[in-house]
Amino acid sequence: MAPFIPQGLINPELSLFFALILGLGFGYILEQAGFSSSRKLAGLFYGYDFVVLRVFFTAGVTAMTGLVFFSYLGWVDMNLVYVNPTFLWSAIVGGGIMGGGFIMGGFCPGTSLVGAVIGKLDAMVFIVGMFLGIFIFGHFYNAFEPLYTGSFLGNPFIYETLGMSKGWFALLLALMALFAFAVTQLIEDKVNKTQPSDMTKRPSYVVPAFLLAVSLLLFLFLPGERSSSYRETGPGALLQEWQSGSHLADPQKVAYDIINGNDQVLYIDLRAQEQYQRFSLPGAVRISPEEVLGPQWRRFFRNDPRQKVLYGDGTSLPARTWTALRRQGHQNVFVLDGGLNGMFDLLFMEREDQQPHGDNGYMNAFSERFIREARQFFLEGGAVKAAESRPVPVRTMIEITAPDIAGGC
Amino acid sequence: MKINTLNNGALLLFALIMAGLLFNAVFSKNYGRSNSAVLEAAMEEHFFISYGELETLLFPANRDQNGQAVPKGMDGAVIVDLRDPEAFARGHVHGALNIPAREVLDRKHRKALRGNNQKLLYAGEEHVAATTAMLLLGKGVEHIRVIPGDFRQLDEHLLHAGKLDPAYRFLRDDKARFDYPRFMKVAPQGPQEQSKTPAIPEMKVISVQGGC
Repeated sequence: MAPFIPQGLINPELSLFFALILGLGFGYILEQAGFSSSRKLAGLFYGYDFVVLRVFFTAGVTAMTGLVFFSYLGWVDMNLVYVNPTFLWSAIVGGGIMGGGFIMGGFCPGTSLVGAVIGKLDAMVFIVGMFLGIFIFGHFYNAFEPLYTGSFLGNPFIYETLGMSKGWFALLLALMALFAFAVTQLIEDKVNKTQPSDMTKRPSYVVPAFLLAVSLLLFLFLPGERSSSYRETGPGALLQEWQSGSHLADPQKVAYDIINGNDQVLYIDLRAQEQYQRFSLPGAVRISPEEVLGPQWRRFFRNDPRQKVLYGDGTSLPARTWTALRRQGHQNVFVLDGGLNGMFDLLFMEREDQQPHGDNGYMNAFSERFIREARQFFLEGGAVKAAESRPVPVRTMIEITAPDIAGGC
Repeated sequence: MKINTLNNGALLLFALIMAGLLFNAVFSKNYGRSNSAVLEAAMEEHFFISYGELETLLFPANRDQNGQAVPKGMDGAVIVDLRDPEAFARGHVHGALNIPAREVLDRKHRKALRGNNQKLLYAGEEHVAATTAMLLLGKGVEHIRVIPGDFRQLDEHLLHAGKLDPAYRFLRDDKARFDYPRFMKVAPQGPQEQSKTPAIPEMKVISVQGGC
C-alpha cells in the first residue's frame, strides 16, 4: 500500500503539497517539544535536560516499531522506502561538525528553523552561518568531493552488518532506549539536584514501555515472511478455476481477435527479449515472468480493463505465470491454450485426419473455413495491417524505480 | 507531552498492530509459502527434472551400463501421476502413485506428499503438472519437481523403449517448434517499432528521494 506516491495512490504532482503539510506537522512537533530553545537543546551536553534524547529516541523507536509491523503486514513496501546511503568519511566528519555546531549554537538545522520562526535571534544567526557553510561547501565542492563521496558503503542496515535478525535488533534497540531514558533521568536529577518529593510526582511511563516491549517480543515469534494475504485467491478456488479450464484462451478466438483488431485484448509475451523482438503477436507487450509480481506491474494488472492473454512457446510458462497472478488476486488474465506452438499448429499445419462432418459437422466446416481464411490472412501479412489499424490507447503507465541516491537532512 | 497523550498514542499503535495481525491471521488464505517464493522456485531450471535424470532413476540397468549414479537427492523419490484413475489404469510409470490433480489438496493425500523425499509430478499435459506443483509448493510441500512433457511423450521417448531417445533428453513444452515469422508476418517488436502500435505508449518513471 504505502509509500503512497511511488505506488501511485497519490498523484506525484501533489507531492510538494504533502511535503508542506508534513513539514508543518514536523515543525509544530519540534516546537511543542521545546526544541525552539537552544538552552533546552544544549542541555543534553551539559546533563541538565535530556529531552532531545528522549524525543528523538521515542520517535525513532515508534517509527521503527511501526515500519517493522507495517512492512510485515504488507502495508508498507520497504523496497520503495528511501534509505540514506553511507559515505563513511563524510558521515564521520559531518557528524563531528554537526555535534560541534550543536554545542556552540544550541541548534541543529531543523530546530534552528523552528527557533527562527518564533523569532529567536540566535536561531536566525545560526541559519545565516548554516547557509554560509553551504555556500563555502558548494563553492569548493571539487576540493571536498573526495571526502564527500569517499568510502561509499551502499545502503547497509545495522542489523545486517551485525549479522542479527531484524526482530532481535528492533527489540534490543527498544530496550537500549528504555535503559537510556532511565539513566539520563538519573543524571538529570543529579545535575538539577531534584528533590525526592518532586521525583514521586512524575508520571509513570510503564504502559508505553510495556506495550513497546511486548510488541517487539511478539515480532520475534512471527515467521520471517508472510506466506499469504487476504487479497490472494485461496488454493481451493485456484485449483477449481484451472481445473475448469476457464482460464484458457482458444487459439481460434485469439486469431479472430487479431484479424478483427480487437483492442479489448492485450497479449503479453513471456518469452525472452530476443524472441519477442524477432516475433510477437500484434500489439503484444513483453513482461518477464519473474517480474510479474513486482510493484511496477501490480497496478497494471489490477486496473487495466482489457483481457490479458499470456503466451509463450507452449502452455507451461504462461500457466505458471497465470497461477502466480491469479493467486495474487488479479482477474481477467488468460493463457493462450497450446501457446504459439499450438496456435501455429492449428492455423498452418494441414491435417490429414480431418474431423468427419457428424453431429458437429456444421461447426467443423465453419471452423475449417475460418482456419483456411485466417491462414491466408496471416501469410499475406494481414497481421501487420491489423496491428497498424489498432487504435492507440491513451494510457500512462507509472514505472516505479528504486530511489536515486540523494537527499537527507 | 502529557502522559495521557503518550499512553493513548502507545495504546493506539499497539491496538493497530494487533488488529492488523489478527486480520492477517483470520483472513489470510491457507498457504504455507509466499507467492513470490513459489514463482521464483517455478521459474528455476531445477523445477523440472530432465529425461536424462529420469532415465537414471527409472532404469537402473541403463544407469549401471552407463556408469552413472542415482542423481543427488533422488533416493526414495516418489513419482506422482496426476491424471484420472482411468488414464492411470491404461498405463503409467512403474511404481507411480496416482493422485488426480483435482484431489491434490485433499486431506487423504497429505501423508503421501509429506516427507523430505523428492516428489516428481507428471500429468496428461506439462502445464497441469507445473500448476499443481506450484499449488503444492504454495501449500508448503517441499521437494517438488516436474517431469516435462505429457505422458504420451514420456511413454514414447523413454518408457516404451526402456531407453531414452537422446534427442529428447531436454524435452520441454516451452520450446518453439515453428519459425513463427515465416508464417505470420508482423512488424518486429523492437524498441523503435514498438512505438508504431504501442499498447502502453507512455511510461512515466518516478523515483523518490528525500530523507528526514
